[in-house]
Amino acid sequence: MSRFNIFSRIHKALSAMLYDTALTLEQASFTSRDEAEPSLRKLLQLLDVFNKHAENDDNYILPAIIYYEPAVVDFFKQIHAQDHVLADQLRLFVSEYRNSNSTTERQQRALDITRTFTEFMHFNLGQMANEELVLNKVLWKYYSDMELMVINQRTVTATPAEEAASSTWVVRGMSNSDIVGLLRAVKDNAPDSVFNSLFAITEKELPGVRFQQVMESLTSERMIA
Amino acid sequence: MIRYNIFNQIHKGLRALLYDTALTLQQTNFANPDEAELALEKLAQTLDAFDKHAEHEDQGVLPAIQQYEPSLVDAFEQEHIQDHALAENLRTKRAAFEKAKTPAEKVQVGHALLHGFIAFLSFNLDHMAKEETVLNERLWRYYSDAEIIGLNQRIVANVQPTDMAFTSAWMLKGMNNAEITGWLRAVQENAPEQAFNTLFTIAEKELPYTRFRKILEDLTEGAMIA
Repeated sequence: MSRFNIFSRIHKALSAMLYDTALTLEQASFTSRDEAEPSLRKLLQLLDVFNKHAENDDNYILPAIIYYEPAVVDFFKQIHAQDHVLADQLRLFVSEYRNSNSTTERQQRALDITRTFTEFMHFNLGQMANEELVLNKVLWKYYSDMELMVINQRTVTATPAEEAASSTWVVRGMSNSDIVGLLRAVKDNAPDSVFNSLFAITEKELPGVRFQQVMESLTSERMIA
Repeated sequence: MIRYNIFNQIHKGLRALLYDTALTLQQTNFANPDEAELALEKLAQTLDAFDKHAEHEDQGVLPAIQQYEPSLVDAFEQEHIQDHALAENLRTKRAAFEKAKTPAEKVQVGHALLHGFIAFLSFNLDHMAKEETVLNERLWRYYSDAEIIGLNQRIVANVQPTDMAFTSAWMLKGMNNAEITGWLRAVQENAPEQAFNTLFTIAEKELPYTRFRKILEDLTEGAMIA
């Protein structure tokens, strides 16, 4: 039986964000500060999102298993601490790049940024895979799917601003069927305004063909008049 | 002084291809045959591109440092073997997908494919970063930029035209505007007109309109195009 994967949705969003930021950094011309600035802003935004995600894991997921598996909790907290160090290193390089006075200095900092970002990405892809492999197993051992959904809901409710901001990336990262499932769940369980907002994001973010397919699936279930 | 990075262009292309394939795989509902077919086709193309890239390095780059750093060459050849094993693992999963009968089975294998691909992507990001630091450092130690450029030209001369069109498209997607302008200029100056026209057409097709316009402006600024 396929169990509820508490990480699936957010990890798809974070992965999509990583790929997009990585490509933006590849395409950036770092010799010009002005040209590089939008990619640096995107990078800093991503680092904030990853920090908040780690905080959510620390505050809502790990406490759920600390009683049963304290060593696992300790391991993942260490991983989050390592991740934090990499993120801080990137912030420092961005700041040094912004304050650099020569093209040579900018080129060197650009190399530091792209290399460290690759490391950050490599680290986080591994970390997310680990969470899905190790943490899911532990969660499934001690909790029912219903209980896990409640934990997930608690995270969503406690961080509404982050949730709203991440919706765009959630939609960009998921399959059509995932999106249809999410829209149905929101329609059934959340206020109209939340559904309308998610629907508008879906319409904006998906390519026309995919949005049409999502609409067809939804209307076939008579969800939308 | 910034030295010539033999890996820069091809690695940017390969990374862009990796990100695109990973995103496609996670956006795919593997129970839907049309969606699955598109994703699996893209996966197969990506794995082939990486196999060929490793072959080019084994035959074109590593022999250049074999006499100076044999153990380093051995370490990188071992990484290529590991990479090949990760790719084969994905091909095996793809074969398992073809045999899966129910939608639930297909979704399950699709999930395994996604995670196998993330491992492949992660390995290759790390591997390419090592090549750009460790291998470049050795190439720079033993060869001049002109010699490394010659090495690159010999590798490129052996690439099949269809593979060249495919990798060129991905390199253009991964490179920045200044790099693309520089590439187009170099091809214009050093290759037959037909090669330039082909690359220019690929750039026009693959790049977003605003980026292509900017590149065109930079090119015409140098009076390259009438």
